[in-house]
Amino acid sequence: MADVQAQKQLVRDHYAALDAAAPGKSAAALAQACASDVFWRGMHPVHEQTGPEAIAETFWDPLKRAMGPMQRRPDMFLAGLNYIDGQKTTWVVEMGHLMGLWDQPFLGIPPSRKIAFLRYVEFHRVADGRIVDIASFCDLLALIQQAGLQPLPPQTGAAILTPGPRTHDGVLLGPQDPAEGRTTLDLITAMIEDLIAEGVASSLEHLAKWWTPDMCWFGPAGIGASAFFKGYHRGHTIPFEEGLEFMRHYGHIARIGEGNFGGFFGWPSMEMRSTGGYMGLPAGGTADMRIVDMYRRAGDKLAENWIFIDMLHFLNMQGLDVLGRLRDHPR
Amino acid sequence: MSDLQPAKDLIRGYYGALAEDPVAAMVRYCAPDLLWRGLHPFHEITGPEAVADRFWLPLAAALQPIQRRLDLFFAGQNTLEGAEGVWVASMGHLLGFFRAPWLGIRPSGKLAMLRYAAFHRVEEGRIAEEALFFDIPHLMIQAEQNPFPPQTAAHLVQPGPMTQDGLLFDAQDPAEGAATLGAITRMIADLQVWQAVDGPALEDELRRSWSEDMLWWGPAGIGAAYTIPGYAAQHAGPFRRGFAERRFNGHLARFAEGHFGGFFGWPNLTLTPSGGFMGMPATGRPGDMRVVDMYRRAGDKLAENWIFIDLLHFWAQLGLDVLGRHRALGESGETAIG
Repeated sequence: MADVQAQKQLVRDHYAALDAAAPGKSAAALAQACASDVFWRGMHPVHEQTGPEAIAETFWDPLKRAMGPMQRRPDMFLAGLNYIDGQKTTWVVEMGHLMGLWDQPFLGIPPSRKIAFLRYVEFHRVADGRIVDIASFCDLLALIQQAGLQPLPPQTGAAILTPGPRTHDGVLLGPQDPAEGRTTLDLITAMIEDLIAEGVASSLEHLAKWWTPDMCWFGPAGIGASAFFKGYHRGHTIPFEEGLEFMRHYGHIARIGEGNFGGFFGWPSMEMRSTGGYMGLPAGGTADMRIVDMYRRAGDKLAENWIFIDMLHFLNMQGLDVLGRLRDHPR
Repeated sequence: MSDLQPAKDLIRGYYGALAEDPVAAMVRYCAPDLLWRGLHPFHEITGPEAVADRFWLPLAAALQPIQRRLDLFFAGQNTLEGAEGVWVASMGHLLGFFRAPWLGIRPSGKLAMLRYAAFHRVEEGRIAEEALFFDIPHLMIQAEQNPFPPQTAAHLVQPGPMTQDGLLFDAQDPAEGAATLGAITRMIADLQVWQAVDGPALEDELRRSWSEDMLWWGPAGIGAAYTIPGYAAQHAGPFRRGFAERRFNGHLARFAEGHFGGFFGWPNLTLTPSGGFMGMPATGRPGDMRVVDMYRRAGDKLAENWIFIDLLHFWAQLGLDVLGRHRALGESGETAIG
């Protein structure tokens, strides 16, 4: 496997510049490592943007104005060649939280006036020494919950501050044994192919085949976190399978593995039809799920899974403008 | 207007007897082929014993003992086709110490007040037909188990009329009742052809029927709103904007006595959510709303309105089984307290 250290260093430099930038200065910081036509995939209501100016204006400057200087707390950092395009592209991924003192509204969400943890994962495609693609997922519903607001019915899983890997070894700054990364990537790919072949149904047999018995599933706010086969069934897979009809899988844009870690994102990953009950909501139309899955492998099984879904987009496609209703009726 | 007093006396006796022994009371006061309409998950039940067995006994086991706290009590002659005759209506709360699970709702171990409204058709000294509306989500919120997204209006345990004169045990001047029914009917006529969904146009339409300091005591999931602008912003507007299609099916009974009146339908409305109503997405298909509205008239305007909607039935028709999901979340709490 090719050396990805230079690409990792570029993204680390990019983050150092971005984190140091004052509100209003994000565009210049982004321009240091990003191509002038860098393509950004962000969460609803930001969606796709092109170029450092647009990304700064729609996401980073508003976030920095809301939360002041932000402390980056990565839990996972890895890079690799993309399985999806036959290893033509190189991607660098970081997952963790951005912590800030939340004193001003963000995207219309009223501030808590306390510290807030914005859960994020970003996929960067690096080409010719520049970042040319960024998929930037963050958990806005989890942020809304930190403001003391509950715009949705009760979750099936737990609302917790999502931890990093149990092994505390997810930040892969240095080079890794390529064989380990390939094993992780192959395991993720095999599990996903099996899952899709089953119509995205997680039977006990499927879980036992691919997951450790004490597996953790750290899902997005609106669903929540669950663990162990019994808890995962109760907290996620049963409500998901009973409340949603799987319409189609769009595939992934990038899928990588390095060391014991790996993951993918789709834009969107799946089209689902709500048949009623999922997330405590009625049956509705079909809607897209933009999804990130990050994994930790332990031996020949998957042990932990961190999931991001653009929930506000999924709901907005079903006619529910969560941020809009929050402005008028927060509590 | 025919004499309503014997029917009222019958219902007062019935309420007293229900508190003592629901089975005996149902059998003694109701016709053997009683048609009972209860909200989801009860729906239509025929016969007094079945109603006692399926509704009253489980409720009496959960709320112990039940104290009926009347806020409205009135009667009238219903002229709507299919349910003509003398009807008695009441509204208030069934208060009890919530000590055992009911419908999978975890008991609070504290007192709770179940909002209710009842309509009874009396024929030949017996209750021939009854509609009983109760606010299950309101009880869930009291027990800290709110199943819904945030309400547009306030959650309150709701009082009776401001004028404290809603218990019409005695005969009333028929002219007052006719004026109340007239005010209700005018408001309904406006509602059936609504065009305005917000802003001054909506408020001006509301001013035709409502007092400026009106109160709208709505069901849990929506809440209570005050004044015409407050009602327009916190319910009338969101409600009118929240549906792609609407159909009025009419009422089964509508009558008034003195300054009070009301109606119920089964269902009154058939509505297709377009996204946003109650914090829920669009559904692409319609659901039925069974609704009770009770009113207080002041002069020629409506001053207060108490509303019951079978929201659990509405959402169940749209694929969301609120009580079933509540059980699945492990919230039911099967252990009795105290």
